[in-house]
Amino acid sequence: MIRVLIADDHAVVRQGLRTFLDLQEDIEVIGEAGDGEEALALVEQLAPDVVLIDLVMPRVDGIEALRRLRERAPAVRAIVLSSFVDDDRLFPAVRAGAAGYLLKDVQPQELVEAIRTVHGGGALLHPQVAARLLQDMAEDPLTPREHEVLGLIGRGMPNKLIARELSLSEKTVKAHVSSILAKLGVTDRTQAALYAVREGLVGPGS
Amino acid sequence: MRESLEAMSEAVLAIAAEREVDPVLRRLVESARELAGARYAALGIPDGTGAFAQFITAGMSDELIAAMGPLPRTHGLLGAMLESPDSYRTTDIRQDPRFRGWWPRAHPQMRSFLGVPIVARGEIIAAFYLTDRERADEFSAEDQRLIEMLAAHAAVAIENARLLERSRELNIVEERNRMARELHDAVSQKLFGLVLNAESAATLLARDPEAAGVQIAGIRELAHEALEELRGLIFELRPASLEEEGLAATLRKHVDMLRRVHGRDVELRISGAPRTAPETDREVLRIAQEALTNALRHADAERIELRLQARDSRLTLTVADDGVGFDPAAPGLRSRRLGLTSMEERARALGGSLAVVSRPGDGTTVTLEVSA
Repeated sequence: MIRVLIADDHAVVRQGLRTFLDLQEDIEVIGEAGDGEEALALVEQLAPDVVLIDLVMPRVDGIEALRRLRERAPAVRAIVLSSFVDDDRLFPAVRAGAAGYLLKDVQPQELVEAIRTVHGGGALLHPQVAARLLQDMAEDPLTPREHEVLGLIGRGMPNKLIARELSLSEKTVKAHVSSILAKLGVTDRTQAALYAVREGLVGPGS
Repeated sequence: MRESLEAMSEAVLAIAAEREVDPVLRRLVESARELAGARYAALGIPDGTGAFAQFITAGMSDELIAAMGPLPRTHGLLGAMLESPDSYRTTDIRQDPRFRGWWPRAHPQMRSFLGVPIVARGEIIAAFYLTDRERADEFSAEDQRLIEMLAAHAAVAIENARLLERSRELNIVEERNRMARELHDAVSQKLFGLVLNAESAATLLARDPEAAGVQIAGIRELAHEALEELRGLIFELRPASLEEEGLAATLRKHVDMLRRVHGRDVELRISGAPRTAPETDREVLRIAQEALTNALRHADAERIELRLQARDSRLTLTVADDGVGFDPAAPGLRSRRLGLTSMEERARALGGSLAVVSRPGDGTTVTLEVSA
């Protein structure tokens, strides 16, 4: 049995989900919460396998609840069930550790599949959500100049040599480097260099 | 000179306090007339196609303006002031080669003339036209200097007021978008519940027909609720129904919709049968919406009440809450609550009055009075 907790501030949705999910052979709804705080308390008390969670909820909202959930009960798998796809919610929810992101236009059977998938260790995204995440990954965060600088970092050059190579001032190079580190989310130039090598930014013969 | 400068700084300060283009222009043209000692003054803004988008005058009665008919075209001396950034003075306008030789019907005879273009960011956006210097035969170099100084301020004031107007329009768009999202959210919940229940009923049909019947009864009820909700939402996006259904019914629906979207109770009391012009209805509705939105979003109120009273020929709208309140005189707060100013502007435009009574911790009451 997959033990499911529902967190949604709309009674209509909770009732619909409970009735429908309880009809599935392998799923049991063990609790309902009307806000994020209640959801966190019930997770500790009932230790569900999967939490279905709405993002817009009073008191503690869904994203904050996901963050705390990951700290306190990392084994619990969470599926976001929202009526929106927007960047303000999607990215924080994914970063907060959601294993699924579905919209409230999901077919009930797909929702059941999603619960099974996520319980089995997989992840499931609404196609629109997946498209948005892929688009984000495909976007190149670096400017062409930053690419050049990163390539030279990848060859192990210090700022002074990079400045000479690109005919820039050392100060400018420094600014590029810190921008690159920030964009790649790394803390030092060694990590940036590793990234450059991995991404094939360091040309052959260098 | 000193006196003139004081008059100028007073004028500029008054103009800077205006938030809409029209009052700014009216104040500018009045100030120009006073500063230059002209009998007549006008401020013309070209529309770029040979006509004036606006031509605002001072020193002329409404009857005279009406008698003169349509706004002038941008030709002759009027047009010349929009072509080069230089001012122009003359003792007798009729001697100028650019004068067409005759005045339009009902136009007063004019002699001395001072024209000053208003230049913003290198572009001539308007011009001051002053005629008939009082107590002198012509405008002096001093007059010209003063009006040129005013023109520099006018350029900034006009640009600012335009920007403010545009940002207010954007705020309305934002508000509509926010509304649309809330509506979408509210409808999605009901429909999702409906889909889930229908799926459950389908599953139950084979196993337990009786339970399936109970499910289906629930679906019928939920579908009905969803339909009602949709109706309310569609109505909300089409304010045109105001004209068909009148103010009272429209307010009732709006309050219903707010109850659903915000899940909060709003008391509504309507007494008398308000009979007002459609334009008045529209503005009263806007003010009511704005006041309710403020109460729902900022007041953290337990109780919100809307009263609409029609008695004799007066219409009174009251929106009261028992929420956190605020100090209506606090300047910072006021500018953050753009809504307050726009409600006041709407009330003024209706010839009515708007009173906001509030104290920190003591709720807020907004009262609008207009004559029907």
